[in-house]
Order: sequence, then C-alpha cells, then structure tokens
Amino acid sequence: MTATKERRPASTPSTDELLRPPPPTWSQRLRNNRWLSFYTSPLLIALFLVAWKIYVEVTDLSRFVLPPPEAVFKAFAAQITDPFVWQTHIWTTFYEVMMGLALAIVLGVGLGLMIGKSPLFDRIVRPFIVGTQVVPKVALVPLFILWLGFGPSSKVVIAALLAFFPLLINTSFGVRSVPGSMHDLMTTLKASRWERFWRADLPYTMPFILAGMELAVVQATIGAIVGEYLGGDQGLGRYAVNLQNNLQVDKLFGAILIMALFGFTLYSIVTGARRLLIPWHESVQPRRRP
Amino acid sequence: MSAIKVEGVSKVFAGAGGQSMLALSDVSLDIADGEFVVLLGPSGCGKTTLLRIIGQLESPTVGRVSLDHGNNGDRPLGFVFQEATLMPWRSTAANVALPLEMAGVPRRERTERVREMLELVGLPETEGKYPHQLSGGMRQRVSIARALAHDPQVLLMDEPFGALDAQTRDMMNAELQRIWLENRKTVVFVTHSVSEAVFLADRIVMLGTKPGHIHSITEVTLPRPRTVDMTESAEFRHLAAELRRQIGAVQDTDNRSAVSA
Repeated sequence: MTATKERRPASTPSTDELLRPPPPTWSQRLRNNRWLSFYTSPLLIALFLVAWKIYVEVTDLSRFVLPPPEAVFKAFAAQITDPFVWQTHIWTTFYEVMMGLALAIVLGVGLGLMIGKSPLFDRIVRPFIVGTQVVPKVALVPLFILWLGFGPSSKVVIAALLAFFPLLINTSFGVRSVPGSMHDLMTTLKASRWERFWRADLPYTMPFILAGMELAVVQATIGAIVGEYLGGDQGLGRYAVNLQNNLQVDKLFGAILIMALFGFTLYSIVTGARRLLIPWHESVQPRRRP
Repeated sequence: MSAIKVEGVSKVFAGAGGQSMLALSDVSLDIADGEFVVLLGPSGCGKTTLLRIIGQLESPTVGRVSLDHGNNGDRPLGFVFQEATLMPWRSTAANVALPLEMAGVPRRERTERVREMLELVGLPETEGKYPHQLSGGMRQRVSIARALAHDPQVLLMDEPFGALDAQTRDMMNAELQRIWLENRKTVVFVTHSVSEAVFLADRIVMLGTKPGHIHSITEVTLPRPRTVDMTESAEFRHLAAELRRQIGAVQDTDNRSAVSA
C-alpha cells in the first residue's frame, strides 16, 4: 500500500465564521479597557513612592532636603485637617482666583466679543492688548503690590491679568467663526442686533469661551500664587514661603500637594461645566468608532 | 397679482484691487402669487445673487424689488440655504421653532405648529434629536420645515438639494412638490440641474453669464403632480434637451467672447 499523503484543501470558512470577531489580542484588550488608568495610575504612583523611599534610605539624605514620603503624608494629613490652613490660606487663594477670573471673564469675553464683531475696533485696540501680554506679567507683580498693598486685591489683579488673554483670544476667534449662512439666516428672519447676538453669536461662541476658561483657570491660579510668593500676608503662596523660611520641608511638600489638588479641582469644575453648558458640542459627545 | 416684482435690477460687486464686477445687468421679472419659479443657469450667471437680492440679503446697485406680503404684514420670508444651517445646540423641534420664537408666538401654539411642520416634511419622530444625529437629507428637510414654520407667503431656495446624492435628491424634489401642492407658497428655487428645474417649475428663468441677464423664460406645462416616471416621458426629455442646448449656447458665446476679448 502506497502511503499517499492526502492533502485536504483548507475548508473555506462559512459566513458565520467570517463574521465572528476574532478573539481580542492581549494588547487590544488593554487598549479597549476603559478603566485602564484606574489601575495603572495608582500602580505608577506606588512605584514612584517606593523609589523615593529607597532613594532617601540609601543616600541617607537630610530630612531638610528631601523628607521620606511617609513624613510628607503625615504633614499633609495634618495640614488638610487644620481649619487654620483652610481659613487663612486655601480660602484666600480661592477668593483671589475667583475674583480674578470673574474680572477676566467680564473684560476678556466682553472685549473679545467686541473685537470679534468689529474689525475696526480690533485694529485700534489690538496693539495695546498685545502690549500688555508681551511684557512679562510676573515682572508687574511688585508694581501691583506697591499700588494695591499686600492684601488680596493686588493678587486679584495679577490673576485677572494672566487669565484675561486666553479668554479674549478664544472669544474673538469664536465670534469670528460664526458661519456666514448663520448670519444670513438671522437676517432673513429680521433679527435685531440683540437677537442675533443672543440666539446665534453667543451660543456659537460658547465652546470657544469654555476652551479659554480651561486655560484661564490655570493661569489665574498661577497668578494668585506667584503674587503671594512675592508679597502677601495670606494664601497658599505665602504659606509655602513661610514653611520654607522655617525649614519645614515636609510641610512645604504638603503645601505643594494642596496647591496641586486646588488647581486640579478648579480645572475639573471647568471641564465639568462643558457637559452642562454645551452638551451638544462634538467635544462632549462620546467619540464614534470609525 | 404678482407676489414678487423685480424691476431693472443691476448688481455691481466691488472686487479686490478696486476692480468692480457686474454680476447682474438690468434684470426684470414678475412672479405671480403661488407660482413655482426656477432660476436656472451655468455657474457664474448670478442666479444666487438674484435670489439673495429678492431675499433682501443683498441690495441691488440699481433697480428695485418689491415683495407683496399680502395681509401678512411685515412677516419675514422663508429662506432655505445650500446647507441646512441648523443650530447645532438646538434640537430639531427647537430649530423649527426659531422663527416662531422670534415672532413672539406663545409656547403652546409653537409646539403645535412645530409638530405640524415636522409631519409635513415627513420627520414626525425626530423632535428631540440634534442635527448631528440626522443625515444630510433629513437636515435639509428640517431646514425646510423651519423656513415654512412662520407661514411665509414667499419661499426662497438656494440649491437646497445640491449636496445630496441623486436618489435622495429625486425623493426630495417629489417631497417638495407635494409640500408645495399642499400650501401653494410662492417659490423661487435656484438650481443648475436641468432635470430638477423641469420637474419642479411652473416657469423656468434661464440666466446667461457675463454679465448675468435673463436669457429666456420657459413655461413648463407638464401636469401635476409630476412623478419620477414622468422624467422618462418624451415631453419631459424634449424640454430638458432644449434647455441643455440653451445652457450650452450661453456657455459657448461666453467662451467665444472670452477668447475674442
């Protein structure tokens, strides 16, 4: 008997088999996992803390240069539960940032709308606005402190000065992006100036204003804290300077952590506002799969 | 009685570098109440400019346009643009309600009217949807519903179906005819598609180029309602062929004068 090797033709797969999705590969499952960062972030932070601890132990570093992580946490826990820290420092900085932002919104959005609407006004005003921005704004801080004193009002002005520009630019850009057909529509409906603004320009510009807000809230926080560093009697910046002077390095780290959480909270509020104010916008819609 | 009267209208556009351009030259046209007029012509003949002048989006350099609103007072007219121009932050229903809001119609009456309009354009179940959830054809239907919402006597349409595919376009034309037969608005419709013009029009106004002027006016006497099958009939095809020949002639003289110039 001759042994012939029978070669069966590979059976053609049925339609069902073709349509059945192949089992996901390891990397696909990783990529499609929505909760990925919820696992990886704590893991990476833990790794960082362990590395920190080992470094401090091995090099036997002075606690005044780099305290071990557990000392920082102890300090942070004490600070965050201390009503004095809340009332004097966190509240002061919060007040300055909020007032600065409010001022920046009124001026930035207001001027931005005017600039966007009127090319003539734009050409007249823009050189001065650019002028205020090319001066290193932090260099103006001593001046404002001289004029307005060590209290919160000088920081409010600095925060507003930093937050104003992104709001202005984004708003004017947004107003100018309103499509011509939208203007035509309002014209055919015999819209008044006010109706045109209220029903077409403003809603159309809203996503741009919110994009400006995301930058502005970060800038305002920086402005307020730098202002406190350079001359203040209260606030998180002043608090950090005090701790530095007293060589309380563990608490200084804690203060930095508080500032980070502070900024993160404000930023989250703004991004949350997007969902509330412009639920219709593409940036808020769940991304469609290709 | 004429609903729209265009008298001796010329339009000059100031071009770049001080070079002015004559877009329309001495155009006169009477459009009767309830008539469906199509402005047809090659690109650059000023048909959209003429429509925009009728719609008061542009003012004529010379001449005048009078609109008879009948007993509608100063009611705005309905305008359908090349793109649907819906407001992305408004739901379908809110988009249709826009002209009613601006006319100060009370809310209860508004919702009633919006429902009626969406039913008219065949989209009764999309009230809560947002523009990005609709297809191109659906969006354009919503914009037609919006243009009709405040019951204008005149409806102006600027190549409203130009961006749609051929099948959807045929369907939209049939729909538009049905809507028009139901409420008999005065319609001025701009297109560069000959078959669309023949399918829809009572009267086709052919415009020539350089400068834009009225080349010819053709009555379309095909019985209504016209159907897609009728586009295969001898009469329809004969008329379409004649109009295509005219467009060709307009473009030819155009090229010749461009060469001799």
